[in-house]
Amino acid sequence: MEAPERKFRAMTSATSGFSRRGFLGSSLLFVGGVALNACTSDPTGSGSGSGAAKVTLNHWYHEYGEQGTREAAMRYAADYTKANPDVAVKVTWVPGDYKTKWQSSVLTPDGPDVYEINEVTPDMVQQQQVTALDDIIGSTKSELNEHALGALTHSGKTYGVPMIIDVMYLYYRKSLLAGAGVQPPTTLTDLVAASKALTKGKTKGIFVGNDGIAGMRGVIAFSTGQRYLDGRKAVYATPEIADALTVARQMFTSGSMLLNYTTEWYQPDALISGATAIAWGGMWALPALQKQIPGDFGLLPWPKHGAAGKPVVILGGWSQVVNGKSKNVEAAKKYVQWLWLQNAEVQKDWALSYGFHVPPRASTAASATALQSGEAKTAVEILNQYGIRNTALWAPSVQKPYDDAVSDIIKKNADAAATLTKAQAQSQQALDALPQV
Amino acid sequence: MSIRTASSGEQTAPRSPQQAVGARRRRVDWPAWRAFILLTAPIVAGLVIFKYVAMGWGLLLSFSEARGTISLGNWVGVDNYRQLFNDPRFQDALTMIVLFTLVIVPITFGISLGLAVLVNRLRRGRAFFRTTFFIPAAVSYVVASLVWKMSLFSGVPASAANSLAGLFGQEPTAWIATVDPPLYWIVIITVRLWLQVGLYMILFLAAIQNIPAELYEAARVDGARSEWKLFRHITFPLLRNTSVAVTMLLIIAAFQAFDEFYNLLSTGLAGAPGPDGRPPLVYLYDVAMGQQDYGLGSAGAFVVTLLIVAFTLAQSRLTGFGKED
Repeated sequence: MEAPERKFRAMTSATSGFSRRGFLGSSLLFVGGVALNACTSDPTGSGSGSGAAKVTLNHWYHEYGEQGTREAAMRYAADYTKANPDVAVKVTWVPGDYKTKWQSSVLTPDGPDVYEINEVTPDMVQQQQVTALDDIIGSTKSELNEHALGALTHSGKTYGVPMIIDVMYLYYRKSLLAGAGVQPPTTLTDLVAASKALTKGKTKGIFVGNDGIAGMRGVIAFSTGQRYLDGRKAVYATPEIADALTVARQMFTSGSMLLNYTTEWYQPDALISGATAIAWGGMWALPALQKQIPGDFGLLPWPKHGAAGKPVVILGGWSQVVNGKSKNVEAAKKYVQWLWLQNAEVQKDWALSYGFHVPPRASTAASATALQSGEAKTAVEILNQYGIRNTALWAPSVQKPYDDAVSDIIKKNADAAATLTKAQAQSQQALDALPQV
Repeated sequence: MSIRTASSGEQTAPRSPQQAVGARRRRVDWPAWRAFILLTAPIVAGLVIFKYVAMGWGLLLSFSEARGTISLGNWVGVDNYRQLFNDPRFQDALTMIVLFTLVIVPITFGISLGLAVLVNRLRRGRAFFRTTFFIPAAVSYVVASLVWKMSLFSGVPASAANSLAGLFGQEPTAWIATVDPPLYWIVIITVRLWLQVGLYMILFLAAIQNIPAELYEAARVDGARSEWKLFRHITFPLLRNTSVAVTMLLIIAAFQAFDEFYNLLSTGLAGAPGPDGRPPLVYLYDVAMGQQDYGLGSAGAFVVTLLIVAFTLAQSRLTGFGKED
């Protein structure tokens, strides 16, 4: 599953800055884009300017949707300069398609020194778009969430510092389940039956994304107790995973899935409006749900399937990396260390004062009062119990054949085992093509 | 593009060589040359830097392994091209776009021409209808896609398409998510028609208005009574050049399809569209921007460009575009 944290800009991603003409007209806009980027790399830049500073660090954030995040980011930067007058930090708040922008920017010598990402691919390591941060992480490592680190680690080296963890699981409407006499499902088969029973009138049973797949494909293998990757091997073509997909398909074919709704799964609107009784969603939606339908919703992990199955909660989140091509790698590392490792107040503030996320550091998360009661407490509990995430080798090129296979299986009734086997070979090819880092 | 019809007869006779040489000897207009260079230099420089250098670099990239970098040097010959042609997903994308072109081009052509003829026959309100049909051409593909996705063809019972279907006793349908049968084609085709028809209608209309009225009068005198006969024997043949040009533009636009596919079929942050309804440009966008494989992405861009060139050449050969009558 791709990073869900881009939820806030996803609505605007449609309008983001590329056009078909631009793409084809120049056939390859990369060079042009890079040149353009060099001219306009700072549309919204601002930061803790200090005339006396010897070093200026460029720090990029994607556009967080929550009120006050930008001011907070600038405040942290200003505080750092106050403590270290030699270093000025220039915060750039990047609206629109953040991934495309940082990717083209780090191809040039003028890329940001510090930026945020969702996962570190082997290509990023190979091309020095990131640099190993083990020296600044040091002994803190044992306190950081292992799955969050897994998406940032290659050959034992860690290339990023997690900033926030987002948790994804299922929400359900208590009143709708009670009305239909349905218990919160604990197995996939139960979930299929529940979705069917809950589909009535204008309410559908379950919503996992407008395409009927988005939230589901990333959990299926884990819910059977298996994995997508074993080291550098793609291992998802198993009878158990094929069976789970075949069972899950019934939700699509029986018409108990909400599809093509006006908002996406990462927004809680479908649940609040009653268009669906169960929905895949994220912890970030908790404040909205508590406000709109207080007491009428519960949360549960994606149910297990099969004898060796396990319930699943997926982790996502943003992490901070240092550009390996930066002229000030050491200064950038120190800044990242101060901001995201030493400064517990900042981490708590960033995770909980504006939106609703889990601080990646166990001690910080444990001391956050907002996470110690109600549904938030349940979310953290199931995160600790069932949380999982793919490793950093689950790169986009590796994932693509699997995603396509799931689409064929769910939407076009393709034979699950055969389709997965074919896709697994393609994923393996993509894995083999990834650099060894 | 020329929207002049064959009958316009406005071509100026070429000057004889002697005349041209004489004119050149007479006087070199240096101030005019300076102005010309001054005015065109920025555009030419921009074109060279932002287009031709980029394209040249892209061509070189397509022969290198360039993952997460756009530096050249790691030459791999035609490996990228070989990988693309062995990739069933790219093959599917190419098949899909050819199919899409074969469907969308004739439909758009037919409707634009039909509308142009109808609007031209109006006695009053011609400007109103012309403007009404043309306005969608000014709307962005992204905006139109969002309207189609979120209100016209949304899956909820209250959407326009489902309300209409409800009148005929149909259950609400998830138009975009249904790929078997491929209902999403209805959404894709209608949005493109709505956006494109107006523009091509204007081109046809301009050409129709250029046809001298005497021809129709003469035809009527000769016994061509029905409107269909007039259209068949006068209007359509005289629109040949416009028709050929419109077809060519439509083919190029169809092959370049990206915006509506990307915006209608991708599900927010879950990423790019799935295997159904993934034209080459969406596929390549994902390869280059999603997977940072710029070498493979460049190779794909050149394959698509070649495909467009091939189709355009074949079409102009078939229709004799550019030949003097």
